[in-house]
Order: sequence, then structure tokens, then C-alpha cells
Amino acid sequence: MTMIQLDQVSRHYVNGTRRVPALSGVSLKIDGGEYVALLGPSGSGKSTLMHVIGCLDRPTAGVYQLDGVDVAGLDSGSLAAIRNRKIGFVFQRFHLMSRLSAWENVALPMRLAGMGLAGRKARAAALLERMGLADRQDHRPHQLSGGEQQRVAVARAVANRPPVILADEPTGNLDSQSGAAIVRLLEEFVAEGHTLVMVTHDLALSRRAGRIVRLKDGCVVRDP
Amino acid sequence: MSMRELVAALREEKGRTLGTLLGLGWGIFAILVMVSFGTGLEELLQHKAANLGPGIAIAFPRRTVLPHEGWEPGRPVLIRREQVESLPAQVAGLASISPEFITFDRLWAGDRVVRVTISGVAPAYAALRTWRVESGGRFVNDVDAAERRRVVVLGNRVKDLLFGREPAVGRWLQLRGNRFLVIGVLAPKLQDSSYSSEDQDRVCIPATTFEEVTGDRFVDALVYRAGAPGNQAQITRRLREALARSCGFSPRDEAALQVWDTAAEARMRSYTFLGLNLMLGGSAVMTLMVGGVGVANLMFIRVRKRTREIGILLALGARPRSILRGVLGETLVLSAAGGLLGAGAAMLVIVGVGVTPLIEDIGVPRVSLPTAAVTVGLLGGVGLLAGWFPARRAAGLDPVQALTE
Ligand SMILES: Nc1ncnc2c1ncn2[C@@H]1O[C@H](COP(=O)(O)OP(=O)(O)O)[C@@H](O)[C@H]1O
Ligand SMILES: [Mg+2]
Repeated sequence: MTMIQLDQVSRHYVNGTRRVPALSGVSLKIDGGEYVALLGPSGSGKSTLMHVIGCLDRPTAGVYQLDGVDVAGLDSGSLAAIRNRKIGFVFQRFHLMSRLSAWENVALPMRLAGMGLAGRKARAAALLERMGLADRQDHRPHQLSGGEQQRVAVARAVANRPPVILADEPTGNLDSQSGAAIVRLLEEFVAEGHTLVMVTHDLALSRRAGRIVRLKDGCVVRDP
Repeated sequence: MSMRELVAALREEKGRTLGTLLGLGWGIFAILVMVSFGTGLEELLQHKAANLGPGIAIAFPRRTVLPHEGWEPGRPVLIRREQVESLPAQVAGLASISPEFITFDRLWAGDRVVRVTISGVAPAYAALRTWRVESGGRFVNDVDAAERRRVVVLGNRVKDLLFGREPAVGRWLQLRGNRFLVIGVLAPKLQDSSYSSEDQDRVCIPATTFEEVTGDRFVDALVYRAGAPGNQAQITRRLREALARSCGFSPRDEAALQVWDTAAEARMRSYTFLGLNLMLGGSAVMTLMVGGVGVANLMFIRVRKRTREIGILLALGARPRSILRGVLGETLVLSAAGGLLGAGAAMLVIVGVGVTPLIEDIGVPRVSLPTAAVTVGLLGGVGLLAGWFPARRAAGLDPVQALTE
């Protein structure tokens, strides 16, 4: 069953009078439950592609269908709802809310989805325990190590049980050991049926994925 | 964003937040203080004026200045009591009228003597001129008038001069060799306008008795009031026409019958105060606007500092509209806090002044319900306006761009 389908998707930026193509005619099909590693040199368009897939950004040309829905016609409110329900982001820079505790960060997507306080507190606690952070629930991000922060971010990404998890260089700011731990946690969710797209520079890590897609200059150059 | 988060966030901007709150509070303070003091003064003046007689007019017969039916100008206008008494039948809408004879003479109580203004009036005079009589006494009534009784109602200061602290009702006085029975004493009242003298320094006797004792036949004034407020000018015109007919002067001769209309005066006063309040309130509103600019500025800074957080919220699925609402809500909470600050300070001043002796001259400053409602509305409006533009900027942020901040 196709979860993500891009047909000739392009995204270019206008920099003054110069047109900068970040993606040029990318066609890609990812089934539900797939584990895809996205590789490519810096500036090849990996983050741009992740943003388009995650509905944070819109393609300037081409058709993108997520879970059978063409997102081109959706307004910003509907895109927000899709991001909330169907997408879980893990960023290189963690992007936790600095004034919120660990559990409040995990509960944030549930709060945005309108879940009650008791329900989201319970689910946040369960997720943090699963991430090995049972004793860090009330810590603020600055009281946590990089690896711990990224585990909070993973818990937050899966809080609303989104079918798609997008991780853009989730290990980029971590030492190899905590990086490997993060990837293992993400893989657990693949085993549970989530679709995972992960950008990485680490060849060893990428080999654990079921499929490797290589980008160069905004084009897919290898997708066996 | 919850209250707790807002407070925590604003702590990091302590100086700027405090400055903004003070700016807004100052605007609210200025509005409330200026308008409440205006209201207090207006009410004081209105109250004092009402004690002369609420909405009455007083007509004084003078000399003609226009020739009329062969008569040269300069004739005195002479009006008899009977003519005044016949006016209600001729002037539709005239609710109440009393003639007033006025003279100045000695009043004896035993060996004590005072020189006072003596008014000869009809019973209706009491209501027209708010002569409230202290309990135990009464005003001149119809029987007194019909039988030309020798009875007198004393102004409260006259009573004090003649009898000190002793009761006066039932005692006898001498006036032009006639014995007068004291039947009432005026209850003390605030008064800021009068003709001939203040009521506390006058005495009233029946008009009929006055005629008999003094031999005077022509009234010095007519005190009257229209039945419905607002048509006093019309009543005055009809009354002038009726008297012009019976006394023989031109109805166009304004000077022949000089009229002091306190209702028109009160209307003028309320217009003056409305203008004053609008002017003072208006300049205070400008102050509030300046405070609003401060709030907008603070919110722009907050949005800029929170750009990455807003990006995160958008990535997690917050709708732009809820971001907009969040910023607007924060602005309103801030505005309310500033407003409370200003209103608190204003209330301290208003209540503080209200217990000082100053109030005898400037009245009791008071925040009326409309003033409070308009102030709250203005504050809300300024808050919404101040929040709108930063909120629009926050809601319009590009999520990807915001995340790179
Ligand atoms: N906001 C932007 N404005 C202009 N150019 C951009 C912008 N964002 C990305 N780009 C350009 O698009 C290309 C792809 O960027 P990106 O997707 O971030 O690559 P990667 O994640 O693979 O390093 C790069 O050449 C980059 O300079
Ligand atoms: Mg990148």
C-alpha cells in the first residue's frame, strides 16, 4: 500500500533574481511500513524533500500524494492537521520547547490534537519510560544530555501514532553511541508498522534500512 | 500558551514588560481620573443648582424698551398677584407658578433684631424653590393665603440669629408692627446661585399677607416650571404673550420681562461638561494609544524571539489560526494586567480624594458605569489592535524558515 507518492516534484527557491532549484523533478514511491534511508551530499535537497513529504513545505511543481490525498489543494489549516496526525518529525537540532518539561514536550502534539490532560500525561509518561527516561519526566531540555533530548523528541514524534516518521539527520548532533541508540529506538517503530524516512550521512546506519535512496543536486540518482 | 508559560516568558523581559504595563496603565489612569473628576464636579454643580429649584425659571418684570400701541418705551411693567394666579388657565403646559413679592426689613424677636429679605409667596413656592421645612414645622398653605394669616417661615440662619438653638416654631415675631407666628424653619441646603439673597437669610410669608402688611400691589418676580422638561422655552414664550396682553407691552419686548431659565442653564452646563469630558477623555485616550503602541512593540519582539518555537508548534500541527489566537490572547492578558494596574492606581486617587474636605469644592469624583464600560471597551480595542499585527506576523511565518532561526 502506497503511503508516499511524489511525481516529478520540484521545489525551487528564488534568491534575489537567481532561481535556486532545491528539488528538480523527484519521483518517489514509498509503501506503508517501509524503512528508507535518504543519502546525498550536503545541499543535495534532502531536507527540502523531507519538508515536502512532511507537508511543512509545498512543491513548486509536481504532484505529491500522502496516504492517497493530493496535498496541493489543501489550505494551511488542513496541512497543519495532517502534520499533527500523520507525520512525526525528528530534527537534527532536537527542537524541543525550552520552557516545557520533558513530558510536556511529548504531550504537545496530543494537546494540539485536543486530547485531555490526564490522557496525554499518561501517554507521555509511558512513551518516556519506553525511551528509558522514566526519571526525567519533569526535566527541562537544558537539564538533559543531547541523547536524552533526542529521545524526548522521538517520543514526541510518535505521540499521536502518526503513520509516517521523518527523521532529518537525527544522529547529526550526537556521539556515535547515543546516535545508534536513537536509530534503534526509531527502528522499533518500523517494526510496529510505522513508515520511517531517515536522512543520514552514516553509511553503516543507512545499511540497516530496507531501502537506500540517493539524492544529488535535487535529483534521485539511485533508488534500487 | 498557558498563563504559567506566559508569566515565565515575560519574566525574561522584565524591564520591557514592566515599562509596557506602566505605559498602558498610565493611559487607563488618565482616562479614569480625568473623567471621574469631571463627573464629580458636574454632579456637585448640578446638585447645588437643583437646590435653587430644579428646572425652574424666574421672571422679573422690568421696564419696556419697545414702543407699544402708542405708549412710549420706558414704562414699568406692573403685574398683580391676581394676574399671576390666572396664568395657569391661559398658559397650557405651565405646571406650577408662584408670585414673589420681595422687600428688605427688620424682624424683631423680643429685643433681638435682624434685617432680612422678606418674600411674599404662594404655597407652590415651597416645591418650586425646594424650601424643605424642618420637621415640626410647615410651609405657607392655602388657608394661610386665603385668610391672610400673619405666619412666617424662617431661613435657617435667620432662625439661628433670632432664637439660637432654641426651637422657633410657635414663637412670635414683630414685622412692621404686626405679630407673626413662626410656623416653620428651612432645612439647611447647599446653594450656589440665588437672587436677592441666599435662602438661609430669607423669610417667607403668604403673598396676600405681604400685600396687606406692606401695601405693595405689584409682584417682584414670578417663579414657575413647565410640566414636561424641555418645553420650558415654549412655556416662557406663552407666559410672556399672556402678560404682554394683560399688562400692555409688546410680546417681542424681551427686556420688559427678564427671564432666568435654570433649565436652559443646566442644559448648557451639561453640554459644557460633555465637551470638557470629551476633551480630557480624548487626550487620555491618546495616552492609551501610545501605551498600545508599546504593547504592539513588545509583542513584535516576543514573536521575533519565539520564531523558532512557533516553527516547532507549526511542525507539530498547530494551525496558523491558533498561533494567531495565542498571540492575541497574550496581548489581551497583558492589556488587562496594564489596565488593572492603571485602574487600581486611579481608584486609590479617586477614593482618596473622596474622603478629603476638597470634595466641597470639586465634588466627589466618581467612575460612572458608562465611563467604566467605555474604558474597558477602549482597553480591549487597543489590546486587540496592538495584538493584531504581531499576531498576523506570527501566524504568517513559514514553518521551515521559522525552524532555522
Ligand atoms: N530558504 C532557502 N533559500 C534559498 N535557497 C535554499 C533555501 N533552503 C535551501 N536552499 C538551497 O536548496 C538546496 C537544498 O538544500 P537542503 O534541502 O537543505 O539540502 P540538504 O538538506 O541536502 O543539505 C541548497 O542548495 C540550499 O542552498
Ligand atoms: Mg539538510
